[in-house]
Amino acid sequence: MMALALASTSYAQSDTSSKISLEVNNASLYSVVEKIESQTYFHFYYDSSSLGNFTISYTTTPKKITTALAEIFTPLGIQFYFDNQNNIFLTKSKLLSLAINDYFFTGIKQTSLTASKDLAFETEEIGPIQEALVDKKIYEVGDKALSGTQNIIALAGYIKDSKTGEPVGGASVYIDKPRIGATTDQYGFYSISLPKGRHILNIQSIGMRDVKRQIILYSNGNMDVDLQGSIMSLKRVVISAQKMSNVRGTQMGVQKLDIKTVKQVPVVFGEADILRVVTTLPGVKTVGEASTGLNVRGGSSDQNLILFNDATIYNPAHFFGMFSAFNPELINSVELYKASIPASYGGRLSSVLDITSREGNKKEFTGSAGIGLLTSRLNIEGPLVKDKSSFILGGRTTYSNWLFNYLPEDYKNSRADFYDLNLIVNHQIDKKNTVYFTGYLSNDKFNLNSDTAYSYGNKNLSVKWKHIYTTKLNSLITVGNDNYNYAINSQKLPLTAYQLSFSINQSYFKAHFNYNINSKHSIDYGVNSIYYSLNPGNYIPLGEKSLIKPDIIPTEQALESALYASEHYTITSALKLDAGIRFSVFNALGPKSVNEYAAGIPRTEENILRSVNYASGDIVKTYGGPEYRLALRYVIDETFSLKASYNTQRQYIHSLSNTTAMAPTDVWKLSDPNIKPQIGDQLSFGLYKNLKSNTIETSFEVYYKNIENYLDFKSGAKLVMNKNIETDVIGTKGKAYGVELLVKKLSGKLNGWISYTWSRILLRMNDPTAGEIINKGNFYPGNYDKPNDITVIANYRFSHRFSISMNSNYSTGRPITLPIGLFSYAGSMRTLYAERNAYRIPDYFRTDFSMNIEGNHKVNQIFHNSWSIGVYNLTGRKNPYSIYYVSENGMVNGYKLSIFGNAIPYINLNIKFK
Amino acid sequence: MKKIIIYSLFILGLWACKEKYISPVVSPNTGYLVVEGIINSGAGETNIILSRTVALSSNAINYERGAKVNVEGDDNSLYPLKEISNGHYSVSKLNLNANKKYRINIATMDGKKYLSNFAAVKNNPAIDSINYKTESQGLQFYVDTHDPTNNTKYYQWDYTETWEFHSPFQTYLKYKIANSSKGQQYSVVFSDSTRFGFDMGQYICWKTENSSSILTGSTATLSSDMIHLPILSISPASWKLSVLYSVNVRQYSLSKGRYEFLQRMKKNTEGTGSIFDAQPSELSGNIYCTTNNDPVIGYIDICPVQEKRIFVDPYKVPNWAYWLYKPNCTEIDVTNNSDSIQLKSVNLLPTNYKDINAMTGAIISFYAAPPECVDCRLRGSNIKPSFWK
Repeated sequence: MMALALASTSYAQSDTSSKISLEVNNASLYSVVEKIESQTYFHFYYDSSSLGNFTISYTTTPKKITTALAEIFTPLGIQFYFDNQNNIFLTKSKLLSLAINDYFFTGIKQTSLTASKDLAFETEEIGPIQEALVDKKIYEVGDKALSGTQNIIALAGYIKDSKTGEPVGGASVYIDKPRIGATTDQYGFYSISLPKGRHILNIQSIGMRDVKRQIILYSNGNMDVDLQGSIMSLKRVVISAQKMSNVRGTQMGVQKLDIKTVKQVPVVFGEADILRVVTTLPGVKTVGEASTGLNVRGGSSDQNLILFNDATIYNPAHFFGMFSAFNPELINSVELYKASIPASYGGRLSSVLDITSREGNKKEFTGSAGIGLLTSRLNIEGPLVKDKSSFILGGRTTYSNWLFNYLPEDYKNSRADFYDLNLIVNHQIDKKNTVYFTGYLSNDKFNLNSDTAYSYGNKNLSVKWKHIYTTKLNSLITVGNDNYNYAINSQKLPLTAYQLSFSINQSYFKAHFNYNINSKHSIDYGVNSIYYSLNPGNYIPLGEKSLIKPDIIPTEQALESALYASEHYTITSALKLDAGIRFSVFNALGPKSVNEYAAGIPRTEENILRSVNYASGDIVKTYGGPEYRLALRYVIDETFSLKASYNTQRQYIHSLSNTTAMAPTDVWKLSDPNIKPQIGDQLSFGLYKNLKSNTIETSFEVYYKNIENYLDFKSGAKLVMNKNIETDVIGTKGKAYGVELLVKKLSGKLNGWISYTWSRILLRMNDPTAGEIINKGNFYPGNYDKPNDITVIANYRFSHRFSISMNSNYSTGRPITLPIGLFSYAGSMRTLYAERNAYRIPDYFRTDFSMNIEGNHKVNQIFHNSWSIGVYNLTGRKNPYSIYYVSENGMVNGYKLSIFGNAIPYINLNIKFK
Repeated sequence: MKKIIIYSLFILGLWACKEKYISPVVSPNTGYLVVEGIINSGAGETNIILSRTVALSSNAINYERGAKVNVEGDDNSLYPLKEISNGHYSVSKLNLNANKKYRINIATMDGKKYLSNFAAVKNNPAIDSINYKTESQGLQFYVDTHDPTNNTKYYQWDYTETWEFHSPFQTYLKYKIANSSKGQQYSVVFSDSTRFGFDMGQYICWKTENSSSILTGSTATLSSDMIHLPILSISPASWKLSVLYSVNVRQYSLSKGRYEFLQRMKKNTEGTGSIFDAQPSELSGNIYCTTNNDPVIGYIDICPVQEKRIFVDPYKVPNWAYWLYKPNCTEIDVTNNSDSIQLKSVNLLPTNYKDINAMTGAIISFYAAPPECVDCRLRGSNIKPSFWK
């Protein structure tokens, strides 16, 4: 326990002669204190639990504060003390030393924020505290001389972690009277417009101690605040950073997870996995265990924009989809937008998954290592220039091949290797300029019990420059390059040894501006541009004997640009509107040869009328149009709000797949004259209610979505190395609708969430001129149509060193196409298929369990160890991944394939060092 | 510095697992017509097999009998096929005109008519060779073909395997059953009066098996129309390669349409089960019901059928010692009296005597073995095929 001496600086002497007038009847202490505070510069500090329950009835005309307080509190047995910094302390016990510890909270605002010094913390050893929670100092912002000129003042700055210098994103910065707030962006930057004069600025963030600062605003200015991480956790004080943000924000259908939450959820083989945790959120589904492809609100897995520090990750999976390709140690937070997608994002129909990395420690070199059954990782971070720049270098690799020896014969000779590498560097040039660099590299190689080897990888580079023009205007300029490629090769038969490769390359430029006009209006605007270059397929011989005729599908290129602007308008304190428009334009560019098909008859290779050649630089086809992003919030009371949103989206790049899971060999295709962009619009409505002092968040959302030109494949489509791919796909119409419920408790010993989704995704192909009518032109369920889905995630912390977690999921089985009969052909009985997705596999149920054991928390030791031990699929249920029928030795046999047929125990060791 | 001890735990049971699945789906009795075969424009047989699709729970073929099947030319020529066994329609020596187009015309007993699209006669080069190599999975057979004109591109093969095999035990004896007042009385006697002859009819047999998977090949992506593809293999220790083995490979050249039709059927029915499989899809061929819109399964092409037969003598296959292999056959000895036989060997077959009365020639005791070790007819046929060496 520490007690800190107050900073002995002297400010304006406490004016104990100031006068107050009061008229209260059966009022709470809180309201009395509030009334007195509103009339004076004094602030009250007390622990409401030790004072007991009472009400106050008291009336006075203007009277000296000391006299008034004596008249109020003496009969209640409460003593009061003034210090020389305008603070009044209330206590029932003996005289307090005014050399008081800083954790003595004010009892203002939320009653749950009050605490006594004894109860407040269970502390381990911590260092001396530099940042006071309630800073006695009064910070003056701006130029006193300009004080008369502005009534609304813009305040901006960075919120950082005092220990590591890392920015604190998602922190709430607000004043209570009037209620004005802002949230820091991922760089820790905030900008807020406040009335001139004196305020208490509150800063709150998950995992950080709350800070209150007294400020006097004269004119526009900057203020950076360092927050202290809470190594200890609060016992009684409830911190809910972003509390009420779900109620107060205009956005809906947004889920934010920080990495601590992600790490608590048990996962297969113990490797913390962002995408797996995202699939536990309402409205997010996946086709099965071997797939990290996300299906958000009825969208296919290619309709998600997965961004890692603004770089697009085309294949976010490792190891047949068992792991996601993001190193959990480098991730700061994950945000999933499924309804109100900000206007700055575009190009995908269903969702944006925005993954942001941490920044390295700016004070000292530290690192961490993790050792698991299948993977290991090592991360190093530290300052490049102390307090100015830092880096993180992280890598993961696998040694999973031993696992295959335990597999059934069919998989025994399979092999898989992967690695990923991240380098994140940031540098603060000066107060107004910061640059960020992100490099990402991932690579996978595997074979599935055959001589055919697969490999794929992502390569991403991005450079961002954040510039602050004024406290009201700042910009973020990003340039980068993303690359995704895969290759398949087979060398067993020398005559036909081949390599097939595919790649996407995109270079992009993004400029984003944020202009904070005043406390009612702020505007975001900017421009995005992406230049795509696709290599749809190179089929080349391997070795001298190979007769393979090199076949290279000409590259495709296109430019996708967008201009956007959105306005955040606080109409009244209860009603808030976000209105955005994004105008996107897509130019398919030459050189390209485009087939023209006879109108009104199916597109087949026989029906090609002619093909038109475009030269390099020619614009082959232009698509474009406005996308609307509207969101409205109405607050009924502090803890209850209603929201509505309407969104339209356009998507110009499509993944073509006829496999159920998102396969690494799925082909991506740019829109061209024969492949129209997908267009979607979504209307959603939601209710948000927080319970128990905002510690429990509940939400209810309902949505309806239309999808145009959703690409489904014709029967027997060939999607790889197909020069006329438009002949094998058909544009279908889709509709998706559903209801999502979420109850979330993110603090306390018991925390976690329960999510329930009821949703449908139905597709329809009834245009006879397209060549094939699917399921007689009726609506049929999409591959990932799983109407009921319930997930429960619960963590219970026994002590700071030991916690347990549990994760349960139930969902309806996904649709499959089952045979309806048999016939004999080519010496064997064979299956007859008819309607697509007319049946379902059995329902899915799984429970996982894990224990997290932390070593000791001594600050000064070099290594901190922690263990996680758990069991994936605790009940050992053989959840079917697929059901299939196969002709074997003349007979047809049906099989049910489960990826994990047993309970899988795991153990992981994590080491942090410095 | 604290010492870090890394523990590894290797507690892992079965990972991916597959189980038999019985569909809860009560499938409709579809009864769609299935037309299998190709029109042989050469001198050989044209074989068309007609059957009907059946319910999922059934595993028996429902042949379509009594149909009228004709090959029709676009010059109005007509070549009727004859039903030679259930659902099997055949005609020989069509020798069709390579410049004309032909189709199949089927009229079933229920009064429905079916037609295929007219198709041109495709060229089909002769098979260069059927060759083999010992590989880890056994004896691997390859087909080699080339088309100097580079326009065949799509191929299909099927094959018939025939092998000679011998019973592990020769039999000199047979049971004799006499009816008496005490019931049936068993004894063994020599089957041959000379006592030295064994029953060749139970010793030497042949077994014939047809291919049961779809075998296709394409040279469309190759710079020359050359094929070297694995078509079948014999696993180590297989009884196929014990005395003499022969395989007859038939080669068809395909249109792109039929090739894709077969590929799709293969994907739907043989290539399922892995994590990234394509989903099954509907099959449509080039045969239509003209009476109503009943679905039909089948794709008719026209080409001369090429055949090639090779023989493999296991003694001449390098590194193939498996001809020594005998199935799990053991003999027991049995006293030649009815009680003993009924107790020990009534389900076995006698092979040879153990003890014999030198004076009377009566068998005192004998050996017996499981029937499939003695009588080869239980596993094949003792009629020698006409092409056998």
